[in-house]
Order: sequence, then structure tokens, then C-alpha cells
Amino acid sequence: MPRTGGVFSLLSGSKGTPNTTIQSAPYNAQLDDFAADANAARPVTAGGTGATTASGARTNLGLAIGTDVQAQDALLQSIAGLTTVADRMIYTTGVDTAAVTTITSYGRSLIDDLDAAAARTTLGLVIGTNVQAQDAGLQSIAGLTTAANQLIYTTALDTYATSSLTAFARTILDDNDAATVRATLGLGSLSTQSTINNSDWSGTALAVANGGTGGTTQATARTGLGLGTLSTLNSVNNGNWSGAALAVANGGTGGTTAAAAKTNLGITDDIQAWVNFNGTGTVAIRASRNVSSITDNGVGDYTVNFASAMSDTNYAVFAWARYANSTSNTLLGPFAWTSDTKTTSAVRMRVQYSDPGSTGAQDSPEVNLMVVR
Amino acid sequence: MTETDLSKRIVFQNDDGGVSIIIPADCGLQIEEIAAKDVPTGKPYAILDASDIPADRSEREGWTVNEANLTDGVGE
Repeated sequence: MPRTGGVFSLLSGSKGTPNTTIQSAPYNAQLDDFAADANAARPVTAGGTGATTASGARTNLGLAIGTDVQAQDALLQSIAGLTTVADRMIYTTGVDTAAVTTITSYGRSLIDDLDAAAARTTLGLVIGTNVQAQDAGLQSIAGLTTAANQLIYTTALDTYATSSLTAFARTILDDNDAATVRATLGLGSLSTQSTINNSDWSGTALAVANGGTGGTTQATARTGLGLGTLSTLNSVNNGNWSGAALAVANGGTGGTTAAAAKTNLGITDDIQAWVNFNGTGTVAIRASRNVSSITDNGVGDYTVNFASAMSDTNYAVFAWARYANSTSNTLLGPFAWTSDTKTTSAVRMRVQYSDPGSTGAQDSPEVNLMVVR
Repeated sequence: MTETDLSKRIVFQNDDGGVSIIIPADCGLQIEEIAAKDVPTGKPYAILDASDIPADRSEREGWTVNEANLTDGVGE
């Protein structure tokens, strides 16, 4: 090789010696070496590229595209054309077109953050420290339209509305305890009482118009309430009854006599009087109606006296008597003599037995009489 | 209603000369009211306890009364 380390050197013995004949062999060898060097790639150290191809030449020259130098690019070309000064940043204004804009040191502190949390810190927006976390309730409040003297209250879960809050109401809300609230409301000691009794009462008699009686005694209270003497009675009886007959519509009979009462009540009771009495021993009435008494006139001889008189003497009398003994073949018959009394106020009857061969008056242990009209 | 005193009896002399005994019913009238109403008009009467009237009626038709003792009133 004619070159060592890129430095071309003559072949040894190729130079001529003065006053000597040039030999062909060294001379030709030197020529061949020149020819070989001339046809070989000139090394970089000799001002060549050391390569026989462009790619090899770029590599040897340290200009390998994508390795040593940027490939030609329109955007880079645009950037290369920008005029920059301190605190500028490059941004695109179109395809492969760049421009510069100011970027402060604070701006650079924003874009050097690694994540959103760091960015929020840089921006002073730390949730829970600098700003409220998103909340449905706060969102509802944020949506309210407020005006003076209003309070915010909930209407449902995370739902708020406003209501009036007067200056007076605020004077209650700013009180520290119940006693202060009572003072604000102008309430006296009565307001803390569970009950009101006589010892608490210091006013005059509460008027009827206010739900009281208007009196300080039972009598004046009754007067205040318009109550009459009937109000002090435990019961109403004939002695204290002074009104008219209580009408049927009010639960009465509408009459002052039994007859009128029955008429008003629609009672058509044909039985005007009846009595059951014991005519033996100590004569006594067991039960009766509209009978004031019976008159024991003698053996088997009785007059029934009516409490209320019959309307006339055309009433019918029905009588029945129990025989005093159990003698067979004995008939016992209530009856009346022609001359016996039958008036609107009394009727006389007799009880007589009738055995074969004998007859006579007899007291009966059970005499029954009924008057029908 | 007024209670009638059922323990009383009213005695008067009947037209046959015998004795009639009025036994009151529980009718709401006082015994005096019953006497005045049920004793025949003009006949004097006496009001006695029922216990004063004999329970033995075997001689009922023979009973008599001293009219001078019938001083409680006169039938109306």
C-alpha cells in the first residue's frame, strides 16, 4: 500500500541518485504505486472522504444522517429560521411552521411538573387545602340564587333551598342558651312552667270570652257561664222540672198524662189496668198497673180501685182466681152481683166456689183481674 | 214518683156493717191520697199498720170496727 495511516510515502529506492542512471524497476514500481493511490479513495486526512460511496463518505466525515446530522425537515427548517431571545418558547402556527412566544420562569415551573398532583400544587389548587373537593351538596348550594336575609336549608339529600332569615330571627340564633332565647322573646318565668296552678295565677278572673268563667266563685262562675240553678243539681226529677212536657223528638213523651203520652208515642194499649193479689191471710198486692188499691170487703169480696179513672164504664173486666184447695169437682168463679160496683174509678168482684151440693164465697191465694177498653 | 207506703192499711165500715180493708198498690200515691180517693165518699176511715189486721180470716165475716176509732179521715 502506498499510504500508512493515510500518509503517502515514496517507495524505498524510488528516488534517483545524482549522476546515476534511473533504473526502470524502481521507477515503474513508484508509478504503479502512484496509480494505485490515485485510484484509491483519498483518506480524510488527505482531504478526501476515505470512501467510494456517498453514504460511506458521510459516515467517514461524521455526517451520517440520523446519527450525526438531522435529516432535512421543514419544521426544523422553520425553527432554524426563528429569531430567539431569552425566555421564549417555540410553538407551531401551522403545518411545519413554528413561531416563538414568551415563557416566564413561572410558566416553566408549571410545565416541569411530573403529574397532575404536582401541577395542582404549583397552581395553588391542592384539593382540600386550597380548593373544595367536588360535592353534590355544595353544587346545590352553588346553584342557589341568594338575596339579603336568607338562610340555606336542606330539602332532601344534597339538595338545598333558601328561606327568609329576618334580623329578629338572627337575634335568636346568636343566643347562647335557652335563658337568653327566652329573654330575646320577652318570655317571663311562666314560660318554663310545665303546668299552671292556682299559685301561678295572679291575674283577674279569666273572662268567658277568653275561655274562662269570668268569676272567682262557683256562683259567679255559673253566672258568667249563664248557668241556672239546674246546673247544681245531681239529678232532674219531678220536683225540679218546670218545663213543658218533653217532646217525643227530644226523647220525651210530649204528654203530661199517661193517656197523652201513649197517644204521642203511638201506643194503643187497650189494657187499662190489671192486678195480681193474694186474697188469703194478710191480703197483699203482688203486682199491678193503674191500680191504687184493692178493698177487701170480706171473704172472696174485693173492689179494685183504679189509680187513673176509666173514660167510661164500658170497659171489659177479665178475672181469674186460683182455688185455695185441691178438691176435685170444685168450680171457682170470679163474678159480680148485679148490684156490685162498676164505675170509672173502681170495679167490685167476688170469688165463689161451687162443689156438688154446696157453694159459697172463698178467699183465693191468687186473684187476677184485667180491665180492657 | 212518690213511693206508696205498702205497710199500711185503711179500714172503714162498709154499708153491710162489716169491715172493709183497703190494701194499697205501689201506685205513687201517698196512703192518705189513696184513702181519700178509694174510701167511699163520706165514710170515716183509719190508717193502720198491716200487722194490725188479723191474718186469720176464718172469721172474716164476723169482723167489726168501732166507728169511733175511724178518725184519720173521711172518704171524698
